[in-house]
Amino acid sequence: MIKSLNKELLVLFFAAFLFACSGGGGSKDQAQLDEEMEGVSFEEVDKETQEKVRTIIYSIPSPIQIASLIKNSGANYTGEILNSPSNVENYYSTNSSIALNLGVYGADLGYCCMYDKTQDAISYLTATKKLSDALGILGAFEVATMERFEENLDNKDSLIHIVSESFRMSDTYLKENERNSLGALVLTGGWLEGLYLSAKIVENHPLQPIITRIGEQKKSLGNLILLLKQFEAEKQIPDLIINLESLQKEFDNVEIKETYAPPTTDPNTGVTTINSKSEVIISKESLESIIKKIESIRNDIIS
Amino acid sequence: MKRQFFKLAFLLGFFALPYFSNAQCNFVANSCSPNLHPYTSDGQYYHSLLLEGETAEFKTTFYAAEEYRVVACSKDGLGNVNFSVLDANYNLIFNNSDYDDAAYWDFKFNSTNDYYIQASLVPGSGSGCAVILIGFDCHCGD
Repeated sequence: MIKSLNKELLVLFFAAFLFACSGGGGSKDQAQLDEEMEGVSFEEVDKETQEKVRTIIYSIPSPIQIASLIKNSGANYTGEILNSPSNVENYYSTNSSIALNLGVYGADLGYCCMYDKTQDAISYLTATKKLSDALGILGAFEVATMERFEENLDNKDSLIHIVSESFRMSDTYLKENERNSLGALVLTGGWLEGLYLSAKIVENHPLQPIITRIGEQKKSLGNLILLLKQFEAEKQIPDLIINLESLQKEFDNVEIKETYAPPTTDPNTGVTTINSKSEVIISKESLESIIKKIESIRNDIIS
Repeated sequence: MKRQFFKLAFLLGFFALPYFSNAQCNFVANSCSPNLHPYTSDGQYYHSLLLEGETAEFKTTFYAAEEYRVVACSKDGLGNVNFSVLDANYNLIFNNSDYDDAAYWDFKFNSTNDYYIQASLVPGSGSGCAVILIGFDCHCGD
């Protein structure tokens, strides 16, 4: 009897192990594979590698990266375009709303830090902590994090580091607790807010580096939609995908031309340089339509 | 009594195993995050539990005029993950096995495009967690 039970246990533990090994990024389904493989010739793909690929995980650019570009392009700080931290009480109705707005406030927080607006940053950090707590995220925005933040108010590098690491800890917590869909919504909120801030700035100051970066988001938008499609069964995600797909239609008019040049690697410095060049072509009309659509989606999220 | 004990142990094991497997990944991520310095984390955590011979694939967009660091690590510390970076057409750009299984590598981009990062455990290391972290140069002090 014990022997038979042991055998059953062995089989079931093996099943549990396989389940655990499914990872946090969601498995690649055929539809996604087809979409990704579109336009890629058979010869270009290492077939053997493809067969062994276990998961595909999508990465979305950090809103802090966009905030950095905005700052370095010479744009002034415009706090009035941010989502007021006093709105935080409006977002507790659903976990989706909390997660999306956690991303929005994270992007606003990064923007404040980038411009050394420490008092504003503290307000956004407080709002961020409230939403993080509401999702039950542990280990990211703890009291110790808040204290470290306040101790480093005169050190922008440290503030940016603390915010980025805290968001990485949030992402880790959500993924490890099988709440990947909420993690994807936090990324979506952050990405959209970063794009919204860029859009509002170029409305008044058509700074070319920011316009180019808006056009380049066509690539990340495609990845974001694929990421969210892994969680289509979750409430509110299908509506969000519809909105993002309508934004994607606006991006169809953006052209990104690439001129190939082979990469070079310097083993002494540990740096590989990708020498290909890209050019973003975006008309004024297309930019305006994109901005309008971004504004509409973002307002849906924060209202 | 003995049978009930086995059942209880099984149930605990069944439900706890995914948690502990994932927790192993968190531990790995925390131990390799110092390797991101001085780059800024993109705020995400990419992991996959792999069997030997399997590859995890991470798709990302890298932006022109930006510098990134890709850090890879696994359960035994740093440097026991093979990772490669491929362009959107799956042309190989970099493979750390050509550089002593480097635990991290920096990349400078002159174009914006999608890229794939493929990670697998070094042959002979068995199964475990592969973690990839991506950092960018935020030019914070500029």
